[in-house]
Amino acid sequence: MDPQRLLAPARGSGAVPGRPIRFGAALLAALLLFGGSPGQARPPDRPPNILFILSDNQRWDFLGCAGHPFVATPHLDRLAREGVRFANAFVTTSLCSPSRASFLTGQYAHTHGVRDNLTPWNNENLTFLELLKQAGYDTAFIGKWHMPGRLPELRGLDLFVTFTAQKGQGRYFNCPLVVNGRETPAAKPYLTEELTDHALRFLGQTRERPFCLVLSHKAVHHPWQPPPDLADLYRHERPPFPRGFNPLVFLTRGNLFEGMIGLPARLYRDYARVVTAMDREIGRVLERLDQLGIADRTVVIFASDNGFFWGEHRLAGTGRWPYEESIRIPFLVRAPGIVANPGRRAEQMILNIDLAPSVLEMAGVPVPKSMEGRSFLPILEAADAPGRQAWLYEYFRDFPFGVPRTRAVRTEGAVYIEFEGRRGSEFYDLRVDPRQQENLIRTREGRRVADELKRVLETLDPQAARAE
Amino acid sequence: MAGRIEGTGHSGVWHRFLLPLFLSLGVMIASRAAYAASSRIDSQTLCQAAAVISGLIEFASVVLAALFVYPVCYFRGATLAERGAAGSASVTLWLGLDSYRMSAAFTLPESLYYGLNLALILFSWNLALMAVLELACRFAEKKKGAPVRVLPPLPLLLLPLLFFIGVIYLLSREGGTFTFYLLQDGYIALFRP
Repeated sequence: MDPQRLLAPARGSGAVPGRPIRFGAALLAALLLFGGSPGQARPPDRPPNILFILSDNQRWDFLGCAGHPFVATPHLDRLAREGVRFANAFVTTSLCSPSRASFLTGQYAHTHGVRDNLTPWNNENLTFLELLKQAGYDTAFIGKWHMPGRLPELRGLDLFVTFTAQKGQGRYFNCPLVVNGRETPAAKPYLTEELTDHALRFLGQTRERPFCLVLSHKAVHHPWQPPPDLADLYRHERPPFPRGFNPLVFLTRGNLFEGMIGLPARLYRDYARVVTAMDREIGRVLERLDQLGIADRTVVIFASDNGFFWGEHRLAGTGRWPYEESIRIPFLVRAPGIVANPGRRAEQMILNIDLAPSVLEMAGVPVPKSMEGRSFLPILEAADAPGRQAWLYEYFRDFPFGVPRTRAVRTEGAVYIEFEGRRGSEFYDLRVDPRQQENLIRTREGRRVADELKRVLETLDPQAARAE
Repeated sequence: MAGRIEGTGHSGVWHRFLLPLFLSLGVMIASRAAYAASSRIDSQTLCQAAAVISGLIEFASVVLAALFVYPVCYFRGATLAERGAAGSASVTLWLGLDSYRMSAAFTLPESLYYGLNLALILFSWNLALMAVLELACRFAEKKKGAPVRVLPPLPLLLLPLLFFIGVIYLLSREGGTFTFYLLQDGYIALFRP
């Protein structure tokens, strides 16, 4: 077992050392050579519109384009076809509130301070929305906020539509909203549709400036309640539960707090139905962009805030744990004029903290040093752009879920995990054991490699180490 | 049996109290271990079967143990305290084990907070079950001609039942989320002031 191999980029990942060819330089060369604009040239001068759609608890493989055996997501598949699907996108903390804060701030949880679902949002945090507003964007946040504490008066927002029912989780049906601080009864029965209506109204406004819209769905969070017309969808499909699955797993060893009570197959199908219902609403948004004639200057990004267990490792529900099903998320980017070779799958590792710097770079806004993510714009522009070799995963306890405080280093080929307390450490070679069934920490060779990765972890995690 | 005299007779403390108690604990511990071990079975079918069977037995051994243990203790002459203890043993042990599971992530006070709240829920059910079983056992004994009063002292019967109904009401509010957030709010108030 070679530590360097586990740290090195995977073969065929598209990650090669050296500077990527900048799309701008290529464009200039093309202009000089051919005297005309290539079909993918970015419209000059005007920063792109940005639409970021965030789903909740959606597993990376619950997309048609990711190979799910039956879930239909034609509109998300369209984004993949017309853009890039990041096959190795992850969250730095697999939990709703910290991950959402990381998307907005470009920072790790130990920096922005929302360490769990109980720690309030610090309104001193700088979001990409605020910076885009300063740069002349119209901005809106529509949907699930779910950061503990009172609803903030977010700086830099022209429109803030959210909900506070059920501690910010909302309800799929008849969910009252809070529109710019004012409580408003539900105008439509189904929340995903109503949030989309708000988004369409925002998109349809006559404007001179570019816009940035964050559309944050309650879907696909528990309890999965699809709209009535999709209630029987997938009724004949057999859920692909993992090897070792048993029907009691959702009720045992603390999994009960995820609230997954019912027949597992029914729960799985309901989850899938809610995914399709959300995809349908995303289709309405994409259609509106087409109708308005702004699709070619709107960057659309789709991601989820964390992964989900369907019985793997005898775990259920929201991620938390540092295993692949939990930390890996769907991540699609359609960026006309920016993406080279649309329809490709990018293997480079990106993180939720990369969204903010990427969006700012696309908008031509300087990225503050306080942001800890890296722009993935180079990867959009060139398939062979280098990616990350290793990154830090961290988790801070969240009552009443019995997951210990965790830090881990994930490379392209391995993951080394340290749990606080008696659980100890784990090390998995993902190339031969992608389902993480064999903890190699107990083997001599595994221990040797893990020690190398531990050194990498220490270099990645100086902040958390000081904060302990 | 003409009558059952509590705490006396040929049923010594082992027969009337300790044996049923250890049996219920034994079934719970064995089924719990079997559930954990089932994950190592290669065959998917056997793994599922083993997990479901052992899991259901573990569930029954915690939630329904009193259904078997309490009447056995009763008709063997166990005192009220003895049969109450035997009927609650597996619930108590299970709570201890689950609190220990939490202690892998949380401090002792936090784990105790967790365990005590869970105890309120589980014991509300267990006490209500034992109250009904007391009634049933007395009725059965009276039918055999024993000079026993069927109705136990009312507080012994009503308090557990009312408490259980109250817990069910709380748990049923908003699909269980009301209680969940109550648990979290209590945690924040105690440990994150």
